[in-house]
Amino acid sequence: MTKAPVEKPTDAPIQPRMGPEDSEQAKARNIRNIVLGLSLVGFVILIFVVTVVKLGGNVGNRPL
Amino acid sequence: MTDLSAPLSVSEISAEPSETVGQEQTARWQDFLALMKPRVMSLVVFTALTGLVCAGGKINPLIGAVAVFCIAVGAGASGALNMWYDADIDAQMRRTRGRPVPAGRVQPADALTLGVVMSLFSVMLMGMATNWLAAGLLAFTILFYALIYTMWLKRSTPQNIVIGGLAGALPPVIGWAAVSGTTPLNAWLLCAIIFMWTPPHFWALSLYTSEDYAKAGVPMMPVAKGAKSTRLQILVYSLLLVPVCLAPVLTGLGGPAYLAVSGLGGAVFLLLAVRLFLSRAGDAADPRIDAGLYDVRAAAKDARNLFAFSILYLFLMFAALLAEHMFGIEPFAALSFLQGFNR
Repeated sequence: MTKAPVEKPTDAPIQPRMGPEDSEQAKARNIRNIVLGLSLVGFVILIFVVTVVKLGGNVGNRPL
Repeated sequence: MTDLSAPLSVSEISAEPSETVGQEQTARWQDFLALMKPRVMSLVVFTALTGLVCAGGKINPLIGAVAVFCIAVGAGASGALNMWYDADIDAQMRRTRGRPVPAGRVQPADALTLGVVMSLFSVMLMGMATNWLAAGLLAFTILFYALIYTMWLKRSTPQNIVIGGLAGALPPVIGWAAVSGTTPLNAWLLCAIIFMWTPPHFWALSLYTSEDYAKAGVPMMPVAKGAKSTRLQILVYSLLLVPVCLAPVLTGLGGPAYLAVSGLGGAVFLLLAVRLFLSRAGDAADPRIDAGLYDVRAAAKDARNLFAFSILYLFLMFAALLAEHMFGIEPFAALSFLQGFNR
């Protein structure tokens, strides 16, 4: 079973080439996004740890 | 918190900033870090940690670390808000025009957003992790620095850094409150030391960077009242500072190491302040000499010496307190006759 090659439509928009400046900007944006993502993960971990420490053994000691 | 605009490292001073001012450029994550004034943050963290340890109460080490982290984030938020609001004058000064906002690398709205989000985050987390007194003091410090110092005092009075210095002086009180839930007189004594230290420290710097402030229209003391008046005020504040620095020995907060550091350091501080008073530091520069921003003229060396030593003096005093309280060194019972300062 061979698939017929898909032809590109001739009126497809031409992708603009990324210049060195755009690539620099994209790289900086990617790194910023990674740092922001890591900060968010850190925030979640921080809140979790603070909650656990503040609760301490009180969860086990609560009246049932 | 106290920007107190310590001189920035060479890397923070843009070499060719005039070409970049106002142009939009790509922000790197380091630019957002620079908005938080990491150097100022490090001083805030150190003094807050000292307050936290001196409080002497029991606190979970992790909660203690979170408290210091919140104070650091609050200091960073203050820095970001300061850079957002001051972008116009920062752009006019050689020392600051390479900062992310005036250089066009970070948009003003982004700096504002970062400052507001970090302020809310630090205060709320401090309240949740420790207590709401510490959180309230942190909120007050951020608001005082951003609203009172940055937006009002800095541009309107030569007393700007005297009153605004309170923001930089509060971190040890916040650290103390985070542990004990109270702010006894000893905590306020730490605050008083930084508060009294700020004017001679900062005016010594401004004596040899006043041209920059004059250009931006910021009424720093040497610009508004002249170098002679500034040198006199530095001497007066130095004379007041040394007894305040010795006071912790009398209240039982400081022990032998602290007494040695604050006494000997205070003597050197006074000597340098007298030498500065007798010098011509900050007097009108020879217009034929095209000096660089930190090219200190011969007469200004006395100003630079006092500025450099003031940083060492404050650091050593707080380090001595920190060490004494961490290693349990007892204060002089005979000297500490002012009791009740820990309540």
